[in-house]
Amino acid sequence: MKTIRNMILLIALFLLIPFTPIHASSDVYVEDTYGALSQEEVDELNAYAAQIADQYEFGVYARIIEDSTEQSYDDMTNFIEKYYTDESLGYGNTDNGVLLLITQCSKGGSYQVYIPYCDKQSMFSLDGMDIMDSAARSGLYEHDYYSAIRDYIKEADGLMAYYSENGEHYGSNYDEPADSTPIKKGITFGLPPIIALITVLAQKSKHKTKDIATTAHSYVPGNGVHLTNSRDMFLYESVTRAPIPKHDDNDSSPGGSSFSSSGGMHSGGGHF
Amino acid sequence: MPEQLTNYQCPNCNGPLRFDPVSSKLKCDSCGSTFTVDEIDKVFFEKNQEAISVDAEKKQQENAELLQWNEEEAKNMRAYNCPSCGAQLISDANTAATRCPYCGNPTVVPAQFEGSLKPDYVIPFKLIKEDAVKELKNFYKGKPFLPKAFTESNHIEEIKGVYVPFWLYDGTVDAHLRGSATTSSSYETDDEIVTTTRHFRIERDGTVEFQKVPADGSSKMPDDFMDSIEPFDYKDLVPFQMSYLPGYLADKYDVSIEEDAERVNQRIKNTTISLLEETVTGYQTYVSDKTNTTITPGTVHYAFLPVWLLSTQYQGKNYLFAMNGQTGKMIGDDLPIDKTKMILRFLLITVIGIALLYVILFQVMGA
Repeated sequence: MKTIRNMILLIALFLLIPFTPIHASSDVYVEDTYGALSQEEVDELNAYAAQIADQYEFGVYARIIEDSTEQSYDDMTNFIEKYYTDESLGYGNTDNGVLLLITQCSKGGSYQVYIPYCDKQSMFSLDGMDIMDSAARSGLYEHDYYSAIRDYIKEADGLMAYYSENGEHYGSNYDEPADSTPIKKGITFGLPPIIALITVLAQKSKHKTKDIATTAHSYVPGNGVHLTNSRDMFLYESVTRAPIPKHDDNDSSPGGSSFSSSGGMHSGGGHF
Repeated sequence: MPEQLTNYQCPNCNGPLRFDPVSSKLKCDSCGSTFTVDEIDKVFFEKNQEAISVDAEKKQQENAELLQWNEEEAKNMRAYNCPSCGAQLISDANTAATRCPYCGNPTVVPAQFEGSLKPDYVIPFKLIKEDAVKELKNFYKGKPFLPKAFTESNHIEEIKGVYVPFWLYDGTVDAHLRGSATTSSSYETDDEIVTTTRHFRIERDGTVEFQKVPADGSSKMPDDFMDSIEPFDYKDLVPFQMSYLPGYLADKYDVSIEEDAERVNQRIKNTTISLLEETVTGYQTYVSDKTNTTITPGTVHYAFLPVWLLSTQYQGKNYLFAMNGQTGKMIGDDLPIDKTKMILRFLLITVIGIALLYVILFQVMGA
């Protein structure tokens, strides 16, 4: 009897599995395998991130890891994309999420914020990426990992709240101005008077028709010019060199955030 | 008794003769007869010689006493009797051809062309009065800020044909030019832009000939006007004959060759330097360090060149218009501006521009 009851319970549990939300490791929003944070700090930050993730159905992840390969130091962009995929991050069964990855290796510390190409990517702009990056950077430069992650989560919350209230992301992508209305107004009211002034001055200049002659080209007969000496002497050669300023590959926006070829959004990141 | 003036009258009917630019002949306004310049010259040769023979000084003194002129007036004015109607004509000392205001006969003062005063050349009028009036009306078009009252009160029919005395200078300029020039090329490496500049020393020496550079010989004609109606086409330049003058006004020169020479010299120097600089080619920059010029003057000819002139007044200010009587080039004093029209046009363009941009930027692109 007991055995049959246990069998029924097991079957019932088995049947309930499809209805159980699977978060796997994506349920863990903040994780520190490097040991920079205390457990209390991890738990506090994890709870904060979980609350926001559930509110917006968008994962807010932060990871501190040791990178023995040192690949993150040289190429964080590819490293973070692979990490996100390998760790199956993303809210629910989706890829929706933002990750602050902090790595440590023998060369030093590196970090970057990343949002993969996903349904809710449009909640964020490159300006928003810069804001989250800047929030994390402030703490990391002080080696205050707790503040870095807390401020990053706070900014992510603010950006998603803005989207939720306004229906559009905060800030802009690339060089497009957040609000082009001031520029349009400037053109609309500034350009016509300039064109009008140029037109009026051009028409006014037609009122002046006379001038003293200063040359006499019309009075030189066809064969009237005789060159008796024409010498061009090479003196010397000079060479100047001007350095070409280097551009950061991630420097597609004023703050350094950019889109990768896979469609993901990367903040400027950096080393600390 | 010979008079100082010669009236150019039709040998057939004694009507007034005038030079007709269309036919290049003298035409009688009364009977329509036409005569070539040479024919009329032969007819009036004796009369002209008689007019020249009149003791001009004695005559002038008599006139001065009669008209009670002071010394200054007597120096600058001349009094003549019209051979046709006997009317007394007063003109300034330089008048060479005019028209009797009483009988309308064209008159010439042959003494103004005697000896060294005789012009070498003339370009006869090619354009008639109607052409000048039409050109002046066209001149007003395309001037949107011209006050309407200005064109209406212009007395455009009073435009007059005048032979203006000019000096035509020949000469040669010898010039030496020295300067520096550069060419450059550049290429990019991974790290830098490398620019190579080659520096050169430039030398140019040469001579430039000039033929018949004009400068007006009348102090009454503004220099900028006479410069601006250039050039005249010297293909039409012919030896001077008095018979080209009837129907037009003319003054003899009162600005000497020496007085005009400085202006002409500056023009030919500037042209010579410009022509030599044009031979410096193939460089990206050229800077002239030193130029030397030496002028060798040539012959100077005295010529009468045709100009249509209109002098008018508007709001107490005089405005002069001049048209090249051969080519039709028209110039004038800086025309008055109706400020209201100017402001209205500025506002109109601004308002239309704002409306158009608003629709495009805010309605079409903003949608």
